[in-house]
This record gives sequence, structure tokens and C-alpha cells, in this order.
Amino acid sequence: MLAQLARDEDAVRYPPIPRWFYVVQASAVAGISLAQLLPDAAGSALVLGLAVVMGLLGHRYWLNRDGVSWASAKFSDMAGFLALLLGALAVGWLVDETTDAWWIWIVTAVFTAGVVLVTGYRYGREFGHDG
Amino acid sequence: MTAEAPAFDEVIHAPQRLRICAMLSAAQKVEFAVLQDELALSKSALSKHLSQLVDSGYVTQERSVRDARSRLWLSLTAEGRRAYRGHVRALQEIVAAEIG
Repeated sequence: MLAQLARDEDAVRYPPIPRWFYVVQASAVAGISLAQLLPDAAGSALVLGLAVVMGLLGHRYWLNRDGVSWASAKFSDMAGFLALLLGALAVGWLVDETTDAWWIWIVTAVFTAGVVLVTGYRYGREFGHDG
Repeated sequence: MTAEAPAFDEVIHAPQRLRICAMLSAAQKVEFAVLQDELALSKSALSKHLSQLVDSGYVTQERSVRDARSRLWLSLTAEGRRAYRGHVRALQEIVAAEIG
């Protein structure tokens, strides 16, 4: 029964998500890294735009999808994913600030996009894909 | 889900009502049709279970209209959330006792 309850909670908390969702999110997160190579104003505008796109997609396909209002994700389930993403961005920022290695943002973009795609693949394997 | 004291609850002990509470515990609100799909229950059977949960103060209902369609949204009350968590804790203790 406890296993069934966990599955019922997950059915609401973690819906099947379309495959393209991860491709767009991976592109957006890579774009946030690459935006650091642009002049300050343009880079900030791009980061803001991409963050809004990511937020709106997450809102529409996960948190507030049809039939469910404010699904409650468990922080413990997302901690590893967030740590990898934010950690990579922090390392990128640190290297960029302390060296001339501007190319670190290309490495960061590839890494963070990879994290999103691998997470999406694992998520789809466990909870299914929509479409 | 770990802070609640274990407390067996007769109202939500019925398997379908327990499953309803599990689903409602994972979001702020869930639509009737989503519960019906997941639980594979008839409208009348689901309504009956929900009425018992509403009467006990564990679930609230809210109607809204979207795309010219009336929708019924359900959510756990604070009391319902406490009761569900406490009941799950009680079940976990029973399982742990059986294993131990």
C-alpha cells in the first residue's frame, strides 16, 4: 500500500513531459552560459529572456498543467540536479573572473545542457514521456 | 512527511480514500477528472469517497469554469494533510514492526 501511495503522489507530482521540453530547456540553459560571452547589457537581457522561457515552460508542462494546480516537487529529488547546474555556473563564473579563460563558458554550456538532457532521459524512463 | 506523529485514521484508511489523499497531497489542487483517471473509479464512486472526506473536513471542493466546461477542483485541508501524513506514518510503523 505504501508503494502504491508513493506512485499516486508521483503521478501528480511528476507528470509525463514531452521530449522536446528537455531539448528546449537544455538549449536555454546552454544559452544562459553563452550569454556570459556577450557585453553586459545584452547578456543580461538574454539571460532574463531565457529564464522567463524556462519558467513558463516549467509552469505550463509541470507545475500548473491541465488538471493540476501547483504540483509540489520535492527539493530532495531536485537537489542533485540543481547542485550540478548551479555548481557548473559558479565554477564558470569563478574561472572567468580569475583567469582569461573565456572559453570556460562554452564548456559550461555543453556541461549544463548535458545535465538537463541526461536528467530528462532519466525522468522519462521513470515517469514516461508525453507524446 | 516525517514530522507528523503516527495516527491511524479510520476515515482515510479505506484504500481509495487513502489514494485520493496521496494524490491531493502532491499538489495544491487537483481536478476531479484527474483523480478519476488515475483511480479508474466511476463518477459516483469517486463522489461518494470525496463526500466522506469533505464531511470529515479533510478535503475542500471548488468549482470553476474554463473553456465553457465546469471543473471541480479538490484540495486537502491542513487537517486532511495532517491526518494523511499521520496515517502514512502509522502504516510505516506497522510495516517496520513486521519486518523487525
